[in-house]
Amino acid sequence: MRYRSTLLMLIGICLCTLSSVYGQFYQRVEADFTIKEQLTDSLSNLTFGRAYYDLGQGKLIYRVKFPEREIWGFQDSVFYRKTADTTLVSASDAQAVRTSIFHLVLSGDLDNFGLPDTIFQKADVAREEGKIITTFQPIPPYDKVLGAIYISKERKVVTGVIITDKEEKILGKQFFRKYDMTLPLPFPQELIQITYRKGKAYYRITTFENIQYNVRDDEEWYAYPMPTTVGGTE
Amino acid sequence: MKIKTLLLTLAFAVSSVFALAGEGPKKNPAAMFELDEAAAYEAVGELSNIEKLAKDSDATLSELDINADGLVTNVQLDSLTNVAEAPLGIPSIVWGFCFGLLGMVFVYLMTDGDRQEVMSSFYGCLAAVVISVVLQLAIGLFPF
Repeated sequence: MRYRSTLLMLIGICLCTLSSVYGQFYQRVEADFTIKEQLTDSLSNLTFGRAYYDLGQGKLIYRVKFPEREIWGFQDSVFYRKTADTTLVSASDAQAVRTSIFHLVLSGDLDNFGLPDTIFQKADVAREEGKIITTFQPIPPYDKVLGAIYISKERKVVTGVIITDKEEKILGKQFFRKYDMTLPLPFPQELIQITYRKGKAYYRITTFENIQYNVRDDEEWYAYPMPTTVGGTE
Repeated sequence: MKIKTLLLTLAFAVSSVFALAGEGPKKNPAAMFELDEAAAYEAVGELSNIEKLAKDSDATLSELDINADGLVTNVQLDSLTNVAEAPLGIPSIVWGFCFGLLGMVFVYLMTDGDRQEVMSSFYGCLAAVVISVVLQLAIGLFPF
């Protein structure tokens, strides 16, 4: 009787510990996204839908509702696009997933934009005007063609990334704004990207709503079958 | 002698460290992080109406009949608010009347297939054909 009580107590402790650990481990994230982009002076693009990312599979699925109902999938170096009439499988930059906001948040790499373990290394950390600015410099021989990347943090979250060329001319900026701090992992609800072409700034604003972690009801999307080989159009 | 060499080495190392520290960014990094929020919102502001329209009606772009290729231009946004514009400011019926099928194709391309404008150019083309036939018949029947 005494042994049985001890055993039950041990099992209870183990279960509590396991559920606590599991509860703090976030493997999946999904969110409604809206992208508004200025392509040229007279041309713009609007895309919205819901995105699903599974960290373990490294698979990112966009269920696009506008401009047309489509499914976009990214996994490793494969890009999959399914429209009402066609299916396209092509090669994609493997970094597309690794640099997505979903991967950066879940993997905890947003703090350094995933730059460590790449061709960039931390060169400087400075505190200026309430911001902690970390400078990453490309390692040789990449420093001949690439410039520094600056990351700013405020109140323990990343608020901006600036990419420069080797002459320190700014090529692009990203601002991570309006963090939802009530979530288990803080997630920026607005991402403003600026690219510079011929001295003019072009803007892209992505907003995220209804952000949820470890949702079990949307298995259909997390388990969405992705092709593993590139090539082919139906 | 050894101490002198050591001091010189130390001095060189320290000066190198300070020299490297001075190789920082030429611009003030904090200033580079300034965002012109108004410019950003203004640049994509025109899309908000379409966004609201599409989300409210759960419609795709083709269902909204704005533009088939997913890209929205200022002119097409104007057409959303019924500010339709004739190609080059010349009425479509005139394009059809003066340039026939070529005029219709031009109107089709310029208006991104706007059915109303293309039909207008078709009526212009039809009118030109009818007038031409009538004139030829008149000349045939009543030669000068």
